Amino acid sequence: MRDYEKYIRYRTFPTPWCPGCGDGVILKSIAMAFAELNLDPDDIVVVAGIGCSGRMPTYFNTNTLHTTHGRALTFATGIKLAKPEKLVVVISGDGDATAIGGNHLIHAARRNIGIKMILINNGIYGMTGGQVSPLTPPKFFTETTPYGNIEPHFNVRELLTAAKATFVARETVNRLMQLKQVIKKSFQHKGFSVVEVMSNCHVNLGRRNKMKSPLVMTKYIRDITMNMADFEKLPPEEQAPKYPLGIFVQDTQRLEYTDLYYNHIVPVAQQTGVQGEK
Amino acid sequence: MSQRKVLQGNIIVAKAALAAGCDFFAGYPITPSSEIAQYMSKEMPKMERTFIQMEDEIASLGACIGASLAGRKPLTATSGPGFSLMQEHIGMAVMAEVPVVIVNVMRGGPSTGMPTKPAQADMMQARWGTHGDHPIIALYPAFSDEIFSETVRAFNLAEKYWNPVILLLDEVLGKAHMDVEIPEPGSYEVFWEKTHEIKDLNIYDRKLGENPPRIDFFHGYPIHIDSLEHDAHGWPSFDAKTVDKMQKLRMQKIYQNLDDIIKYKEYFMDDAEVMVFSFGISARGALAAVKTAREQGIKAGLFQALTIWPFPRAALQERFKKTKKVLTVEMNMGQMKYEVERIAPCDVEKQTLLRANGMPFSPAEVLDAIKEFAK
Amino acid sequence: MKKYEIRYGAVGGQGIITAGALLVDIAVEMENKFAIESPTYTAAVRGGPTKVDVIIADEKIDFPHATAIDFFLCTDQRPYDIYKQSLKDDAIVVVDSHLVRELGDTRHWKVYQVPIINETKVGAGNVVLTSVVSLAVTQKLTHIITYEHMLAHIRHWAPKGTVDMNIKAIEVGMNLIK
Repeated sequence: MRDYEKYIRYRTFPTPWCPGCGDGVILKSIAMAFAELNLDPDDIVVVAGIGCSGRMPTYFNTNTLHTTHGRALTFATGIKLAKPEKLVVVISGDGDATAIGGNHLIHAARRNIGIKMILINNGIYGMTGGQVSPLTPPKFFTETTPYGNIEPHFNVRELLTAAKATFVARETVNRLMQLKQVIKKSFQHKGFSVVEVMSNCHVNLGRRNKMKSPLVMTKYIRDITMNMADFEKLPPEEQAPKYPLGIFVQDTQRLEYTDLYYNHIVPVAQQTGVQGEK
Repeated sequence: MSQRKVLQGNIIVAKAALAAGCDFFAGYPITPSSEIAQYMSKEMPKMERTFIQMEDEIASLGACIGASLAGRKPLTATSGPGFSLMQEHIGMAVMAEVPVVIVNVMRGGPSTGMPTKPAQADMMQARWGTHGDHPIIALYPAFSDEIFSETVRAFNLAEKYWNPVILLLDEVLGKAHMDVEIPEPGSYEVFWEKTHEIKDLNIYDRKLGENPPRIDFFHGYPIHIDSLEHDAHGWPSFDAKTVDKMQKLRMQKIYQNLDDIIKYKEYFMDDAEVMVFSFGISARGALAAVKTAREQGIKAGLFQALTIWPFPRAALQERFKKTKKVLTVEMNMGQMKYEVERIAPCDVEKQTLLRANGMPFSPAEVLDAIKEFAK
Repeated sequence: MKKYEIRYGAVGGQGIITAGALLVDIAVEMENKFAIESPTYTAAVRGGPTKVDVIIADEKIDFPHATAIDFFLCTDQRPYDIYKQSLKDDAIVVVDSHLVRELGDTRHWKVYQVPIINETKVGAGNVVLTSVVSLAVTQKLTHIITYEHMLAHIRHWAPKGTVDMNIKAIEVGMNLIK
């Protein structure tokens, strides 16, 4: 048994994911990050919402919680506030995190609460059968954009940077070792972190856009992504359809929310005490 | 010695919650319940307990459920529109069997309705607001001492039965400042489940009707909690036999323990010919009316439900053996009257006094209805 | 006294919620009576017609809203028009003589027209003291609480540095009613 396998809950296998899905790579990279940090499985809780990504916690041999659509961050906020010393990981898809759960995403970032979010961006609602998401690229065909997508997609990096997230990174399922490394770094970050993982849904997005095999789709992901250094050299018009990779924001100065609450607000309340109600 | 003092209804709820061991509050401002959050934001940090104002009511209940799974005793407070937003997570708490207390200080609806006016408009939303078949407990105090005791009881029932408990209040009870006797700690029961050591993964396994143990994360044995239908381990399962068993376990923990959960008060009911069935603010006008009716020689009585859900069916049916007239008084267009009609035998005459215009029924109005009905 | 009902009517911001709160505090905490204060307010607490019902009784109060009012103090025409219903036949009515001009039929009431707001500004020095002035007027006309309890409670309740102002407001209230 390899180190990371003790974080995998094999008894709940098989997974519901299609053959060739990037979710398996992500599952493994997260488990590897746990192993490299040598964490006690009981000191971890993995929380997820709904969708293919929502099923991922079931397969971690840690404390795990499968919640409602888009709201994983809210449950995670409760857990983190109750037990700040625990590693609270949220796994979310692009629809889950940026559509129905978009409000919670920006507020978690604004609070800088120490939740570690893995945002799996496959550009589609996979489990419900291939509907357009806020991260589906323009012109793509989906079950609900049969004539092509007319909406622009969110840029997660810019969205979270604007919301003052203190750790923002992007990686792809094509680069397991880099992905594991970035996830590990995000786990070591004290505040709120988001690692956006570009993943492939060849079944529900690729199939309708001439990329029906996992190989073609992962090649497509390789083609649209590049290291930050290379990205910055491109003229603006060529930057638009590309996704830079790397750690974009890593702010270690701003205090984490539970730290602020328990180490700053609680002592202030206890010492000065706002005049209590009778 | 307990102390007599003047407190706003919402503040009584907050104080009682703290007395019951509430150590986590997540909420979102909404009239007429905001004083509960305001009080908690002031008092909880002093006690090293946790307060957070979330981005909406969905997030508030989500945070409460998360905190509960991490061993806290959570509370959230809201009113009609926020209560509507919370419905999905009430279902989540039922499905995952998570203790949580939700206060709904009812105001006029639907929609934004009348934020500053009282109503009893969410009686059925409390029962059936979330989708799917589910058991629910809802309590509704009417007097200041009951606001304290029922809040404490809400926490006890949530912890004992591992289920969300809804504490209903209305704008009048929430906003009014009233004399109240805050009982001394120790003079009332506070249910503390001893930390349950999780030894295997059969976290949901138990006998039908049995109180479940409280399970939460971080007790040395990683567990899985799911909003999906699940088996005794908590793993997702849609197997018909398993689903059947789990649904029955969730229902029967409540329905086989009705004696412990159902509470009501009866005034002048022993020889009553006309029973007024009411609750909350309406029961207060009704009680004054019943007293006056008695002075005038009319044999009227009041059945005041403190537990709304599960409905106090057996107790009412016992009364219907002798009392053959029932007048349901509620500040809505008719909600609990259907429950009364459903269980009252054919030989019981049913009458209602209903209104949802923001004006509580005055004692005179209830008295007129009693007199008319008693004829 | 078995039960005494008091209603304060005003436009939001005139301090009647505080007046009602002070009254129930004194009645319950200093005189061991039963009391309830229920405000009726609009979405905007400032500016809209507002009322506060206070019931003080020797026994537990069933219905929390006033239904047969013994004492009504009102400082604006609009709330006067809306909230003068439910007054008892021998009710005591105090209105601001500048701000409530149209009294209508007052045959069954004992009416006092006094310049509450103006005297508060001039005599007590700050219009925010209307709450305490109204409380003093209530005490003088109803004796529902004792003067000594009122004075003691105000001394205890007034924020630091405002005790003298508040005591002055009590004097203004007492002197308004001759």
